[in-house]
Amino acid sequence: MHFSFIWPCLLSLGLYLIVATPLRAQVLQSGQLFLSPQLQAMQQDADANPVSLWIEKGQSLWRDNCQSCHNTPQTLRTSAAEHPRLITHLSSSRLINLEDQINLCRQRVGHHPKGLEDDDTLSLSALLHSVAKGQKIHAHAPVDATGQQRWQDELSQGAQLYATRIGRLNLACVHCHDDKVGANLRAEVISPGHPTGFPIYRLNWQNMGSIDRRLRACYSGVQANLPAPGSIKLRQLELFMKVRANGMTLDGPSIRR
Amino acid sequence: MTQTLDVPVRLSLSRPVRSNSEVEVRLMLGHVMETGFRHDSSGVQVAKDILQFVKVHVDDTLIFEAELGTGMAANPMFFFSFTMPPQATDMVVSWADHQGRSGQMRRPLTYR
Repeated sequence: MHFSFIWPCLLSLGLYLIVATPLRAQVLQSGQLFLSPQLQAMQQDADANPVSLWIEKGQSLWRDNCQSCHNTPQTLRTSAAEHPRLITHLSSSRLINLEDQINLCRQRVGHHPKGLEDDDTLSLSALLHSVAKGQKIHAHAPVDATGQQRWQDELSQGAQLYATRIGRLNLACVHCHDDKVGANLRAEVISPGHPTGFPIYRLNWQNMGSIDRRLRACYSGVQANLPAPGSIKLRQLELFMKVRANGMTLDGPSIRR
Repeated sequence: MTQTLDVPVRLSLSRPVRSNSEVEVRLMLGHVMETGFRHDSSGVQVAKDILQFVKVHVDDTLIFEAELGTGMAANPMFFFSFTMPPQATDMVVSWADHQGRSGQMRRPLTYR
C-alpha cells in the first residue's frame, strides 16, 4: 500500500533521464556525423579523399625538413590534441595553434615563415593531424602559476567571444551551435561545432583550410567584420572550442561541405 | 615511383596486377583548376589555370585520355577500369596545364 507513491517518483526519474541524457550526447557529436553518406564514404576511402594529396605532400616535406630533429611524425602524435597552447618568449606569452607552431619551427631553423593557409603549412598540419587521429582532445593550462592565470584569462575571453552577438545577423556562436544543433540552416544541418576534424578539405573552398580560416568564414557568415588571419580573437575562440570539446576523439583531417 | 612534377599525382590500383585481369585505376591530381572567371577580394581577375589534358599510358599504349575544361572542380579525380595486358612494365600519367607546365609520373607495374 505505502509503496504506491514510489511509481510516480520512478516515472519522473525516468523522464528526467530521457530528457537530460541525450542532450549531453548530442552536444559531443563530431562534425563527421553531419556529412551525407556519400561524403562519409569519400572520407573513408583514401583513393577518393583529396586530403590524401596533402598528407602525402606533408610526408615528403617532413622527410626533407623535419625528420632530422623530430624523427617520425608519430613522435608528435599528441601535439594536435594539445594546441592551442600558451608559449612564453622574452617574458611575453601568447596563444599559438599548430599552424603557428609550424611557422615558429621554420623560423627557429632559419627559414622564412609562410602563411597560415599556405599549401606547405596545411600539408604539415594535415600530416600531424592524421597521426593524431584517435587522440583525445586535451587543451590544458601550463603548469606555472602566472601561465595558468594568463591561460584562464584567454579562455574566458574565448568563452565571451563565443557568447557575444556579432554581425548584421546579430548572432553569437552559442545561438546556433548550442541552441539549434540538428536544426536546418538552409541546406545544412547545424553541428555542435566541435573542432575534431581540422584542417578541413571544404568542398565549398575546393581547398584545404585551417581552423583559422573556418572561423573567419563563420564571421563572414553572420556578416561581421572579419578578424585578420592569426588574430588573437581567433586563437582565444579556438582555445575555448578545444576546452569545450575536451575528451573528444580527433578524426584527423576531414572533408566538409 | 619517379615523380618529376610539382603537381602531386596519386595513382593507385584497386587490386594487385595480374595479366588479363581487370583493375580499377584510381587517379587524383592536385591542381587548382582555376577557371579564369573569378576575381579575388581586391577585384583583380585570377588568371586561368586549367589542366588541358591528362593521359595514361601503359608502356606505349594510350589507355586513358581526358580533356578538361572550366567545369571541372579543383583536384580532379578519375576512376576507370582497365584489363591488364600480359606483360607491361610501367604505367605513366602525363598532364599539361594552361600555364604551360607539364609533367609525368611513372609507376612500375609488378605482376603477381
